[in-house]
Amino acid sequence: MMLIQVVGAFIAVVAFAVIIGVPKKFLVHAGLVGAVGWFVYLLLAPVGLSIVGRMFFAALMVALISHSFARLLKAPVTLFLIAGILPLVPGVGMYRIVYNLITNNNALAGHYMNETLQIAGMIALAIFIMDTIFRIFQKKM
Amino acid sequence: MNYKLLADTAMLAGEIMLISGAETYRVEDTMSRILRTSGLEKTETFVTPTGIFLCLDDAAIDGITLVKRVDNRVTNIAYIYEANNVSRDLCAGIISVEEAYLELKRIKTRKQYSNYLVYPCTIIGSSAFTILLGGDLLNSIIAGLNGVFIVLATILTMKLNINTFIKNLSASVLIAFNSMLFLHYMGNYIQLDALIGGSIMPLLPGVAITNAIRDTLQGDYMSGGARAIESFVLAASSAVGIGIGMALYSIMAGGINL
Repeated sequence: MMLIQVVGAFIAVVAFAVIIGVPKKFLVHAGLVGAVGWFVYLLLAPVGLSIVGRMFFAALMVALISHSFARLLKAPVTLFLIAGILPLVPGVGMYRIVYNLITNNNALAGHYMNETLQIAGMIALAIFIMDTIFRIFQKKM
Repeated sequence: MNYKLLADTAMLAGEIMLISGAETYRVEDTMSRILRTSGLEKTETFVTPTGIFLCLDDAAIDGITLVKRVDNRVTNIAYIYEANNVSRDLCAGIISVEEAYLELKRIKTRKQYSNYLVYPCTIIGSSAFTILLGGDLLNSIIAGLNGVFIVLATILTMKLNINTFIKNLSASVLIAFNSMLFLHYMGNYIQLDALIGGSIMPLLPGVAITNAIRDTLQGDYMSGGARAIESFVLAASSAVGIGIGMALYSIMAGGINL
């Protein structure tokens, strides 16, 4: 089941990469970034971390691989990062907020709103951290 | 050295990158690098999500200032990559300013993927995101159908020249309505979470979200803030669309249980 989801992530990210116009030779790399990110998210499920925590480590992994590919292939980081981070963007969270709002379930809507904002913050934090680490690394070279 | 042409080259490179969805700081960085090859004393660039300013000045020459208003952004990551390569070559001295200018002109006319590839990819994207979120085969096929609605909304809004907000809104209404229809008739087999959540994924503003984060980190608060608002508005348009679609269906079907 997990493998199917990871393959789904790969296909989804490659498809999205085509939509935003990532060059042909980098499509597979972008797909890999997304697939590994989602793999990390699923892998951490039994550990007992909250969704927000799992998202953080997944985003950290996505940013790490994106930066590594960017250095190796001499291409802008965004090439891999934009498509790769997309599976982690809380689309389901958004849906749950709306669903609970229109079913008059305000407490749950608030809960999911909170969670979605936290996930967004965690993704931002992960990208911040990786950007900073790679900048220090770059200066030393 | 032809300073006018150099300024034009920097402006063209900046414009291509900004339109294609590059981070603001990257655009400024690339333009500054190009301008600095002149060796002049003063080379300034200032980029916002909607406009570019550049200035090239020295005691020996008349100052050159260019302003460019940028609207109508179309995400195309390949253009960023190619403009980046041209500027890299120019700064390394591999190509001359004239060659760089012509090369940049050529980038603008190149088309990466035809719409006949992008549209199927939208459909595949909706399907695959549903699988990613744990949906089964049936749900991913229905999500593919939802992807067709995204394509329809895209084509329609492009023909009528309406903005992305309305595109996301109308596509989300159709997605929610269609998903509710399937929920009504095939209740037990539908995983509504994965189905709707996956279907709207291609609509989410991935570029705006990533750039909002990275621009803010660079201390580029104006661009970061603008991108953050952009991503919030686009995400909200999808959310509102889903709400409308679901409410509409439940009213038409005589108040079924959501």
